[in-house]
This record gives sequence, structure tokens and C-alpha cells, in this order.
Amino acid sequence: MSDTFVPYTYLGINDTVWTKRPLTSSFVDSVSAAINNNFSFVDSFDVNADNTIKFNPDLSIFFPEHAYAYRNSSYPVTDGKINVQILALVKKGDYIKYLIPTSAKNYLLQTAGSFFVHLTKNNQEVAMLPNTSFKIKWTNNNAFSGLNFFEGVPLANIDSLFTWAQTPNGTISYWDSTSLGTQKKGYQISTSITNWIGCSNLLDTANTVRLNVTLPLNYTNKNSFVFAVYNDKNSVVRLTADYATRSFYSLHVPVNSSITLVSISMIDNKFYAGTRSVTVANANRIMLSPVKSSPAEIISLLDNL
Amino acid sequence: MQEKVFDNFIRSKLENYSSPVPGGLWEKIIRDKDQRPKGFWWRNRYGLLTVIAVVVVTAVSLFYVTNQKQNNLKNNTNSTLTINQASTEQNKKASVNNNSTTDINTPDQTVTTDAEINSTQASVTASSRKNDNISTGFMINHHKNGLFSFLQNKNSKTNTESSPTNNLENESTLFSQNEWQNFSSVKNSNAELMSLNKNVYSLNSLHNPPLNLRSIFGLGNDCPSANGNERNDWYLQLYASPDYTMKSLSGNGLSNTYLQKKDSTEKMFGGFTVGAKISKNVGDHFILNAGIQYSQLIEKFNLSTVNETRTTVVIVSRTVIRPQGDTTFNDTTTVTQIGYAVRKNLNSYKNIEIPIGLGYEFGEVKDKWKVAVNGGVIIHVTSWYNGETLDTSYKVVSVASKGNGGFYKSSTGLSLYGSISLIRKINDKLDVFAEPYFRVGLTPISSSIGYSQKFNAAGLTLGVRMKLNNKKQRL
Repeated sequence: MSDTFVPYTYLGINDTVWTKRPLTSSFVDSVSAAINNNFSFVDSFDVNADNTIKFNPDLSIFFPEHAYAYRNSSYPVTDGKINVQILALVKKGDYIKYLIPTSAKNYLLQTAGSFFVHLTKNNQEVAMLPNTSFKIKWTNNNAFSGLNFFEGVPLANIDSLFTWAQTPNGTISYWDSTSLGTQKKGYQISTSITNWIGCSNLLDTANTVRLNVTLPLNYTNKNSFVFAVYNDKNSVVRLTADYATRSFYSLHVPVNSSITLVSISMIDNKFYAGTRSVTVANANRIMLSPVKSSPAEIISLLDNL
Repeated sequence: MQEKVFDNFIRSKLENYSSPVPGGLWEKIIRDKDQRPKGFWWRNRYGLLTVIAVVVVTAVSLFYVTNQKQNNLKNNTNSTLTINQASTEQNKKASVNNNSTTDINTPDQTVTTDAEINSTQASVTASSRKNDNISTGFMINHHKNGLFSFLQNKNSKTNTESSPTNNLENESTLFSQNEWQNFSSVKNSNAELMSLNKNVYSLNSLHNPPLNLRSIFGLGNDCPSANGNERNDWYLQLYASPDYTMKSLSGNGLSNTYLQKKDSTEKMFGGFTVGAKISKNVGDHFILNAGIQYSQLIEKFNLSTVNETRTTVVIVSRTVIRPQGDTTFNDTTTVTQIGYAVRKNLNSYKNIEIPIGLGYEFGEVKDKWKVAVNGGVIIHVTSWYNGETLDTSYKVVSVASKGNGGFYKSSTGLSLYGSISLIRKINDKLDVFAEPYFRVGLTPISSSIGYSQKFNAAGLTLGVRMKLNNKKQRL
């Protein structure tokens, strides 16, 4: 008896070769678009008037009057309406949906919220004028102090689109109010920076360890993402691909951290997801076993992290 | 008056003669009649085929044997009563043994004129042919002692053997001058007449009527010694055959899609047969045989499946070169691949069988080359199988007869076979033969999932045939 098996060479699932090149943006966008059910809020406001846009009961944004210019020409926008698109990342699963980590150059961030604010007029990007700011206010009943303003800084030639960087271009404030007998708490960011902004604090723990995760050979750095979701913190880390060991890793993970590992892969337009809860005690390699999953299943998984 | 001398002589000798009938002949006829199958051949189309095959074989046999008999008898001058046309001119070359008419009147005695002639010369009979069943050769063999003793008494010259003698001398002592002249003139006139009609009056037609089936089938005459001793040979045949095998598949209600898929995955891949038979002649040409054989049919199972997913556990070891020292990582992990799979297997259908058959050998035992036609049945005593096949859900299942309770329901069956043998005599004890043959399966093998299949085969049997008794034993 003989049993011959010939893998299809044209299928990505049979490609077990790792690459030293970063993921393509088109691949990242394809994955994100498939598993992302968070929609941006879109509205517009008059440049010559103060505007507060309330997207939902827990999120509002204030735009001041006469504070805008085209980004490329610095030419002020003096009239008309500016279109605003705002995306809010509040839950841990939201960060994975957009493939955005809460880390700053391999250091873990604990975040209270991240936003993507995009202003346009006549299909041209609009920026805030110097010494002006817009304000984002949102509800978070577990708000805590000690948060700082972070910007998303584009990165080149590494396996991520950007990283977070703490800057002085914005301020974080807390609010606590009682309305109609109900107490609400939350945060407010005041900044002139558009695009990716957030409020986080750096978890600088002395006793850390490297987290190493491996996947089956079919899942390579060409088709997979691995995230470490901290169970007791609002932190999500996207693990870095290590070509030498064909594994994914994260540095500066506090020892005995309780985390949930999540892998998301897209191979041949099919999705695979793996999840495993572990306590990181040492640098031992942790194996994840993805299974074929639909985008809806992955979204459900992420919403319950 | 003179023309009737010889006829009277023969008539007076043979008119009261009756051919003896072997004992038990009538009982044998009754027994054969009772055992004759009634309508067996018309049970199915294979029976019809068998009948057709038998008819063809019989026709060929008749044609061949008839020609063979004629040729043999033409040349058999020792067993004929002949008169040389030129005997009167070449008396030195011919010898004639005679006796007087008075002595011939005794019932057990006959007259024989045995003339040695050139085989190229025409031979005619001088017998009155009143009784065609009488063979002159037979009479010479069995009664020559009486005849010769009589002749010895009549002749002044002692001669205990049938060696040629001086014809004129002998004849003159047996007959008077007048009698001999009359007899010679009759001889000459008859010789001329018979030489013109030698085919009509040949001894062949004299002693073998056109439809003498016993002679045609090589069973001899009623009197065994007419053709010499009967053949009584036992043989042991050892043989082996590479087989070309064929299979027919019946669905019994299963879907055509399944049958096509199954048929496309299985292809007969030949086989072989080995066995041994004991053979016994019946008459000079028919051979009955039976034995035991092992046959194995081989089937190639070849299943190709597309989009098959396979996951394999692997251990990968990677060494990372670092300034502080190389580190080796060993990971036990898995790899999943999607592709097409080809699963091959050799299925085998093994049978223990009993072949029973009847053959007809052309030619004589002493011939160096012989041809025989054979036919019969093969009884499958037991069968067992191993291999793989597709079930109705297109999954590969084992057909091993051991272990899963019998995938195939029946292990016995029946086949028909026919063959033509080319036999080469090596020595008196040993023949080798090559025998192209075919076999048709009559009994389908039914599977537990519904389908049934029949197997047919053709092959070339090669073997040896050893004579078990000493040379050619005669009864």
C-alpha cells in the first residue's frame, strides 16, 4: 500500500516559509476590514462656529471656530463645513480589530482610550491651527489617574504600522459628574493633534520576562498576528515576529501576568484564530493552535476579551 | 462359374460368422442413458455457450479424425486382404498363403491372403464384404496360429512365420492347376475393377462405416484388439499460469455515481494460477482431469482525492546564533497541508478451486507434438480477500475477509473454462504443455454494501505432465 500526498504549491496554507520583510499594508487592511465591525462616526461642522458633536451618549467631541487649515498648504479654512471622522478604541478587543497595540517601543502601555480623528474638506486633509485644540470626552466608570497623552507615530520597516509615543501635544483630564441622579466618570483629551491619539500610562515593571509564542508551521509572519491581551489591565500587545526562531515575542512582560493569547491569521482568504489563556512565568515557548474561524466568530471572540 | 469360386470360398467361410459383443456393453449403454443430463445446457447463456463450444470442438474433431483415419488406413497394408495388380508379373515379390476350401469350412477358421506390396501401389480388397465388421487384421492377429498350423500341414515347406514364400509353389500345392487358373483370372479381373474404385472398396470403408462414432472418438471397436491394445494412461499435471483478469461490476440499486467512482478506482492487475491435476484417458483421445488449484486475482486500487487536508506533527529544531552563544530551539508543532492524495493498494482475491474438465487430444500417443482442446468447470471451494475499496460514502474501507466479518458474502462459486493445449513430448514419461485458456465466472461475489462482481480471466498455462504408469500401459 502506498499513500502519496502532494500539496498544492499555489496555496498559501502550504507555504511555511517565513519572511524577513514586514507585512504589506494591503494585507493588514484586508484582515482589519474583515474582522472590524466598529464603524467610524462621520459628521460635519461649520468652521465659523463652535461645535459639539455627540456621537453617542458616552462620546462627544468639541470643535472650536476658526481653528483649521489645510494640512498640505497651511492655508486656513475660512468657511464652509469640515467633515469629521472619528474612530474610538475603548475595549481591548477594539485594539485587535484595528491591529493597534497598546505598546510604546516594546514597552507595555495601559490605556484608557484611543481615537482616530480625521478632518477633511473638499477631499483635502485639514489640521488644527497652532494654539488651538479640540476636545474628546468619553465615559469610563473605571477611570484612574496617572494617564498621559500619546500620539501614534508611524514606523517604517518594522512589522507594525505605528507605535505610540508620549508627547506634550495634548492633555488628559478627568471628569466626574452626576446627571439626573446618575454618577458618571470619564476622561477628556484636549489636543490639536489629529489622526491617532490616546491616553495611556507606561507599565514600567522591573520584574519582566520575554513572552515567546509559537504557531504551527503553516502560520508564519506573512499571514499571522499574535496578540497578548492582559486580563487585569486594559492592555493589548501585538507580538513581534522573530524570524530567527520562527516565533512571536513580546519584551518586558511582567512576570506572572495573566494574559490571553490571541492569534489571527488570514491564509488564502480564509481566517484562522487561536486563543489560549496563560500566566507568563518564564520565557518558555507557548504554543497556540489556530483553527479555522469565520470573521463573525473572530469578532465575537474579540468582543468578549 | 469360375468367377464365383472365390466368392463361394469366402461366403462359405464367413456367412455364419457373428462379431462378438463385449460383456457389459448393454449395461453400460443403459447406465449412460440414465445418467444423461436433461436440459442442463439451457439453464443460462453460459450453458448455451458451452453447447456451442462442444459442437465446434466436436465438429473439428470429426473433421480431423475422419481425415486421420483415412490416411492411416490407406497405409495399413498389413491388415488388408490385398492382391497386387502386378502379382502375376512379380511373383518373387509377393507371397500368398492359402488353404483348401475343405478346411475353411470350420467356423473358426478364415482364409487370409496377405500380400506385401509397394505402398505406392493401389490396394484393393478381394473380400466378399458380406460381413463388414470383420477385420482381416484382427483375424490374423488372433487366429494365425490355427491358420498357420493348417498351412504348415498343407505345405511341404515348413514355415512358422508369416514370412514371404514362393507364391507359385504354395499355390500349386493348395489348388489344382485348373482351380488356380480360375482363381488367378478372378484375381486379375477383380484387381482391375477394384483399382478403379479403390476409394469405394478400400478397407477403410469396408471396416469403418461413415458414422462409426466409436472409431471416430477413439474409443476403439467393440473388440479391443482390433486397433491394438487400449490406452490406459494416468497423468499428473503440474502447472502455473499468469492470468489476465477482468471484472464486471453490478450495482444492485446503488447509484451510478458510486459505481463509476468505484470502477474508476479499481483496475484488475492480472493474477496467477498454480495447481495440480490428475488426468486419465478415456479412449485414445479423450482425457478426463480433475485437480486442485490456487488462483489469485490482483486488483489495483488507486484512489485520488483532491483538496485533502492532512495535519502532521513535526519536531522542528532551530539554532539561533547569538554573541553570547548559540541557542537551539526544539518545537513540537504541526503542519497542515492541503493537496491531492493518491492512495494505492493491491487488492487480492484468493481462491482454492477444483477444476474438473474433459479434453480431447489430437494425434497419437507416440506423437511428439499434440494439440488438445479442453473444457470444464472450476468449483471455488473457498475464497478470501484483502485490500481496500470505497464504500457508498466514498470512504476507504477494508475488504479483508479476516477481521471485519466478511465484506463479501459468498466465498464459493463456479466458473467455466476452455483451453487449447499444445503438448510436447519430452520422453515416454514426461510431456510439457502450453495452454492458452479462458475462464468465465458464473457466480457473482456479493458485497455487504450491495454491489456484486464477477471475475473472468484469460491466461497461458505452462506445465508438465508426468505419466504415472509405465510408459504406455495397455489393457
